Amino acid sequence: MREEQIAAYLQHKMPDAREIAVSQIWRIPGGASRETWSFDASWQEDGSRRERGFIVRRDPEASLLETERYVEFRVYQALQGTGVPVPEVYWLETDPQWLERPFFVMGRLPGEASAQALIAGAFAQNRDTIAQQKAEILARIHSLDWSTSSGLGLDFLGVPDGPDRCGQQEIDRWEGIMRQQMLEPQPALELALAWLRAHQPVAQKVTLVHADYRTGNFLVEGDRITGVLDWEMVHLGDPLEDVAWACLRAWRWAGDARIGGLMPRQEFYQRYEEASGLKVDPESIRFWEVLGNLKAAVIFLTGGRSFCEGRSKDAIHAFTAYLNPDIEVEILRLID
Amino acid sequence: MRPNGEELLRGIQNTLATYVLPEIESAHARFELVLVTALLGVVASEWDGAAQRLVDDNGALRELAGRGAAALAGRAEAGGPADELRSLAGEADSSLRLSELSAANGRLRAALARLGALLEGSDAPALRELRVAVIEHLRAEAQGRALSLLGPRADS
Repeated sequence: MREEQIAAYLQHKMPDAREIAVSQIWRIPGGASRETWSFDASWQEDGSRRERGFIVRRDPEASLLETERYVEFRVYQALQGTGVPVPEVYWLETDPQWLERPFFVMGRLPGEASAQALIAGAFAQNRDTIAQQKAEILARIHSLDWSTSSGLGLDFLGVPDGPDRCGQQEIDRWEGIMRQQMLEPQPALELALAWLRAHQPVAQKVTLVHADYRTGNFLVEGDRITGVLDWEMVHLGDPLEDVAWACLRAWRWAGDARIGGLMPRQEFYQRYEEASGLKVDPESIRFWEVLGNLKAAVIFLTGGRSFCEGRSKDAIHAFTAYLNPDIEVEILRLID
Repeated sequence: MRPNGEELLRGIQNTLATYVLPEIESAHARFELVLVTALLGVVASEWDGAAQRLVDDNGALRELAGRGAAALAGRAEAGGPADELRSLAGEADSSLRLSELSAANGRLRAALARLGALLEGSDAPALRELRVAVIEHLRAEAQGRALSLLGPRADS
């Protein structure tokens, strides 16, 4: 991605801007699905010099996830002003003439997303405050009226047939991807699917589900969560899906039992229950934790396939595939 | 011939970490290189035991296939799966090539996957015991391949 490419695009989208200057382009490491690039831009407009930090989310050549970019873009748009901190989004571009592949552009929020930095760095003194916000923001997401008739207009995400069908919807989604992507038999995942079909919970209500809500996917500045990111898997479903996902062992970055390196599981449940008014049912959590591990395994084998077939040059797609035995062990523990 | 495969991979790991990584300025490229060196370490660790692991796993899976065939025998819904499991249980590895061992492993694991789906929710004691045995084997086998990078359990 080059300065002149981005400047040309900005000129196209901001015809009144003059003397556009682009700098500090860098790809933020770690993105395993959509590429994330950061850049600064300044320009002359209405007699003054303006400056802003931007983020470009560009479709990859291959990905851990094959998601529709417009879903993430539209959800970011819908969440403006709802109390859920998200970046402002500007343009969704499908014409590959600008940056080779489709992308969207959003504002760059202040803060640190790296889980390791949040756990080990200067943020440690604010851990309790951040933990509380993590629970409260999740509760806020689950409180939103997503409907088109009275709320945010998110019916297009696909409304489950009922609170008792949220589990089946996600089983079908991830089984379908698994069957499409797997390069070899997956007996542990097949056992998980059979168990999941037999243990489906009934959701307390159907809510917006972030579906990747964890430490590492939100920005923190000082003692404040400034942005919730990575809405690629967002859908409507059971709110406890998010609670369970946040609890997966894969995200225990601090190397101890704290959820996302922030707080013990029971404390997370308590904070979430107080903020949301919903009950955290252990058996429902168990279902969603098995589903979450299955989902992680399917995401990783999708990346592994794209690497094996040469569609991806990103080593993370090979590396994450090697995490699947760990996840299989966890799944088999949970369903035993 | 020395260095052998494992030594070579570990040596390349060291070369990249010592000479190449410090020269890279791009955060994304550094991230990629760190992952590449980690992957070289994974392959080096698997190098020596790869064939033995598959031989052992295929043997254990054939034993489970035999138990599955016996447990399903006579059950109306079983039919094909029982015959398939019996047939697989009677096979043996005839080569130590990884490709051939892996192909046999794939066939056995596919059959075990179908068996696992049949076992879920069964009330028959023999099938419940078999489900436990299947889970125990899969867990032990996966544990042998695991990088052990997941965090500790929160609630145990």
